[in-house]
Amino acid sequence: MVSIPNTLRTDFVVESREHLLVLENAMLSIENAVNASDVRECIDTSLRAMHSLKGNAGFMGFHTVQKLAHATESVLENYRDSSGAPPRSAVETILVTNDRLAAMLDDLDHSDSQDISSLLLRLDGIVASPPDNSSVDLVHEATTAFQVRLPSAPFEILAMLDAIGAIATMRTVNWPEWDLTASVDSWDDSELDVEVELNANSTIFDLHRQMSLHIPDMHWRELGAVDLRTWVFSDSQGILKQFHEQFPQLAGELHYEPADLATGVPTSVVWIASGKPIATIESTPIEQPSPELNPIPVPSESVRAAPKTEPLALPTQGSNSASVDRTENLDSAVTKQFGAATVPNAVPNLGAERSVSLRIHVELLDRLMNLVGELTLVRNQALLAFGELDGTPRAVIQRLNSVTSELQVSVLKTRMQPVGSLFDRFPRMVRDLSRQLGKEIELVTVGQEVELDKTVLEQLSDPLIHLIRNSIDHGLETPRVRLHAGKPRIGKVTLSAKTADGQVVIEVRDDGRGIDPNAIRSKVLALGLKTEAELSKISPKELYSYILLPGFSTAKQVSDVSGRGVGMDVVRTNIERLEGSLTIDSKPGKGTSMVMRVPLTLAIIPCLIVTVGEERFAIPQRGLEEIVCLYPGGQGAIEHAYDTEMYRLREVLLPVVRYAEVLRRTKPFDAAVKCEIMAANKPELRDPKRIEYILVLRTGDRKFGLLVDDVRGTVEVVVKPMHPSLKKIGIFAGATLMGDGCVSLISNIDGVAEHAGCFGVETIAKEETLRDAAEVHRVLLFEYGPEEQFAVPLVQVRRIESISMDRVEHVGNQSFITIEGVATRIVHLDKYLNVSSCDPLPEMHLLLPKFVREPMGILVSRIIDSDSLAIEIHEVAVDDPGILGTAIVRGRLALFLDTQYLREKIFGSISDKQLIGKRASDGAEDDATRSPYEPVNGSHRLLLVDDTRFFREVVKRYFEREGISVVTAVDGIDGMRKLASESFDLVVSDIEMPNMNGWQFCTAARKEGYKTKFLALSSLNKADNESRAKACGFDGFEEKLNHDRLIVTVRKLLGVESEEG
Amino acid sequence: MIDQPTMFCTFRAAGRLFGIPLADIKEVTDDVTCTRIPHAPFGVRGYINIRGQIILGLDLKQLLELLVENAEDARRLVIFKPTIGQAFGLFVDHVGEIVEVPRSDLESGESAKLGLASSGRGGLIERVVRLPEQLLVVLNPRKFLPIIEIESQSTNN
Repeated sequence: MVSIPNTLRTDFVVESREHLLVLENAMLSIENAVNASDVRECIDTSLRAMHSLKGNAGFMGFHTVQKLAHATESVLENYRDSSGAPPRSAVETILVTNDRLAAMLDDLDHSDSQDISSLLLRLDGIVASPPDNSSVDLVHEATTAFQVRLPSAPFEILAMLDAIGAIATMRTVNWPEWDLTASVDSWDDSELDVEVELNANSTIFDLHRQMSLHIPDMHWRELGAVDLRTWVFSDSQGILKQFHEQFPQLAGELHYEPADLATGVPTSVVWIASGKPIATIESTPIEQPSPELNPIPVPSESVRAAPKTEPLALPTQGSNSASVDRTENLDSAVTKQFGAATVPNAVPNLGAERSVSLRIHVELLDRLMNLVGELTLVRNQALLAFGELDGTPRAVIQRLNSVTSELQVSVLKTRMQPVGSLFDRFPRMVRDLSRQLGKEIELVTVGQEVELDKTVLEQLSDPLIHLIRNSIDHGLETPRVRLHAGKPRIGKVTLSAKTADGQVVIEVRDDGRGIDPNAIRSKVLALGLKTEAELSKISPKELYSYILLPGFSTAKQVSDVSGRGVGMDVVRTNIERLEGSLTIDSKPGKGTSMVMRVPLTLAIIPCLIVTVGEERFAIPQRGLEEIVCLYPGGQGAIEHAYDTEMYRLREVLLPVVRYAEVLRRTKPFDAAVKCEIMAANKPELRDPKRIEYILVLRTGDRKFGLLVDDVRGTVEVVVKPMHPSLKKIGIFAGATLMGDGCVSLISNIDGVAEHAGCFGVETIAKEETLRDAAEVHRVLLFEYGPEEQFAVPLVQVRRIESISMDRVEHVGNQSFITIEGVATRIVHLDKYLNVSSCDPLPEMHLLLPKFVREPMGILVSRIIDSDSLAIEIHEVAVDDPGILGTAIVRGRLALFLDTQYLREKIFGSISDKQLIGKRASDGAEDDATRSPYEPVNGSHRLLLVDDTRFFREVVKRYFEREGISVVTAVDGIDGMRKLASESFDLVVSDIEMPNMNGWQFCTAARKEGYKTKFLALSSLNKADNESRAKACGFDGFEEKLNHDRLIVTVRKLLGVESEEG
Repeated sequence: MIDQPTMFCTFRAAGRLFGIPLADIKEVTDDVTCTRIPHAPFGVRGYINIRGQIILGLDLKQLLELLVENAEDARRLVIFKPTIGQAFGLFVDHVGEIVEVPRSDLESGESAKLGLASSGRGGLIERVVRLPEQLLVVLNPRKFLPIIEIESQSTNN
């Protein structure tokens, strides 16, 4: 049973009521309408309302509502195409239908068990007859008949026995809902022959679908004439007996209203016992318990309906028998069966539903957000204004303060919705698709509670529908194929959501046939996108990304569901519009995974605030790589090369765009303008005292520098789009309100580059050359004391913070500073290392290291530079445990700091805390020998394979500090050699290495039969490569270089620590 | 109903008297901070924050090409209702009184046959109404944003 979430239901009910109101009003105005155009308008309005209602009801699975709406629509259509106004009787019927629909909406759970046949008949009657003729004409032309052979009696058919009772008596019965007639040929204990005549406008598919006879091996065969047979029903007598036992009070005969018999349609059946009617049974045709909603075949006992061939002659047990409505009984049986799924969702009554949810226009929410923002500003002003006063106003202001903050949080929350509200739509879709495609599918959803901005969520709906459809249509195989391939019969589609790195990651994963890389290859070749040689070089992931191109479909056939080759392109475009990304990974035969990453909210993005002249601009940080400061006496300057200004950024020539010029000139730059700019900014004319900044920005895979006057800092801004009349301005992406209440413009980096005619320098080539030089590190060079130069790899730096020393607080001999509300421990290097001390300056810097959980910052007196340097690291030229190694940088000795060592000296070993738990970090400082934990006994041997000497040294130290003995190797080949000569408990290997990379190394080792545990340690993205690592035989994957996680993982793999540790 | 006079909010820009139907105006704000928008067409002063909503501020003097050497900077912002156009306002020098113009006077008002008519901005001026003391130039605020859009297209492409 597909359960429909309350929120959707409520929305549906509220919306449907609106449609009904529209219909009602329109019908009422028709009655008073004077001229034909008014009538026409009323009918059009009603049609739209009914159409929407029908669509919604269909989507929600309320088929009775849908049918009724459909019939109403047909009636309305009939009159739209005719000239005259509908007669009073037709309007009356529609109004009755309207009321009936309203009643169904009030009790949705039972809407599908409502008998609407007579109403439908009335509506059909209007359609069938000419507008001026109100008589009901039910004579249909029989054209085709079909044979149905059923191996068993599924629930749907049992449910029909109500109708069969009637059939058996009358020999023929109509189901006007789908225009077919059935009559009974013969009926014995085990078999029932039913003849079904389809009308001219029905198809076998209609019968199939409407009757919900989804029995896979059911055979349909078209016959020349009239013979539909065989519902095998072996235990009819038993059922009948049970029925008697169950309802002993039911006794009597069935009588049909003669008027209905004339047309073969019993509108009601009357029980007559002891000579007087005791119950009226509404004849309920096959739709009765809405079989379409009930995929589970139900054991026959569940339905207490009596199949009969003759008027029921049940034992009469006195005349005091209570009257029983048979419909209700069947209902209760159905409810019993499906109660668990439906009842909790039941909308109890109108009042309750109104009180829990209210539809609010998003515009109103946005306005609320704006006003709250404004209130915050007023609050700030009030705080300033009353700051010096004491007494009552201050208390009042503080209350204002706290209320405002809370209000802000609440209003922000209104926009966040759990993805569950989106995921809830899919079970039904999956179910319908499974029927349509004859596949058996289980949909698993994970992480419904993850919250997302409403706007983002809404825009995810279509891409997700598409991805799921793709998975089911292309990915999953039919049960037969699956069984043949040794997979479980039921295919699995997993839909999961989680948050990671401030983004929401949504994955659609199936265990189907996967995507054949060769099919993509040949398609790529066929389309001429790449040559064979180029194709051989690209990674599988890159290969799969071709699926996202327009017109690229490997499906051999276009199906109803997907395969036209447009979809994935649309999906990608939609996701990219959300600032998100889509990646595909697939294993032929194993399945496909499609991963979407989208931001939590569209509305807020981190920006860098810069100034040009007096004006402030916000630059989205997404494209920002680094900032270069041009200051007096500093190295480097802007130089001229033909028509472009360039800056030497290390080994790359970076084209520089002057933002001031871009802002000043409204026309895109041409050669003349460029020359003009160059002439005005001759290097020799430059004011040597001037400080400027170059923002190194990335657009696509290219880089350029944007010259601005000053950098003010970073801020999270709420993006507001540009005014619609100014959409043509390409250099701005929107506007935002700053803390002081002024408006700032948000730059569009792509637009700026385009305006300036600057195409930037390609970044990919450069990175490759860097990777070729094996020992290149990006490091931060700085000074603490006057004597030494220190270096820290940039990958280990979280941030550099400028601090003023008068804000530093001292506790004993420790000093702290508050950064972002956290008391951060300041590390004076001379206290822990044998280095020179530093006289405190008023302004210093704090280096906040990465991968350190405890708040600490290394005090820095001067930042020298950050650079990519080919450095030859000497292992222990300086004998200090806090120094990883040394290198000569710019002619001066640089000491590579071991931030993990410092951390441990100050806060104690991470493993202490993880293992032993509660040990306070205070005091561990004096405790130079890491005490209570020596759990890794020296017997563990580890092979570390990494081509980068620096990492090899760093990681080796990490392990040695844990008491593990480490042997190193420089690449896969070396690793294989070491594996052959010694035995190890664990191999930790880099992935990207020359000669033999990590993938090859592990695969080769596994092939040779080494059972040693392998851990991949790479700067590659874990999420994207973990599965590949598993496939190659790795036991784990860790990203470079998070000390704590690495140690924990290694300990797990060595078996020192349990999984829960 | 028919005899009810139309109310106009009057204001001055570069010394001239202008009027806008009062019904079109949402509010008049004083002394606002305006952020210039580079690349915006002539006539756009910039963005203004009005209680958390960003309003596009147009400059009446620029739009009407009233470029007198008047150092006085228009700092008063007349903000229009959303039905007139999305979130925009007009900077004027002084907001004057509200005048009532009988419908009969309004209907006899001259259609603008002023110098602007040839420049494509003629639509901005709806008519000239004869008040007892002076002439009131009635503007059509619905025409302002379309003119900005047209100019925006011509300058940026």
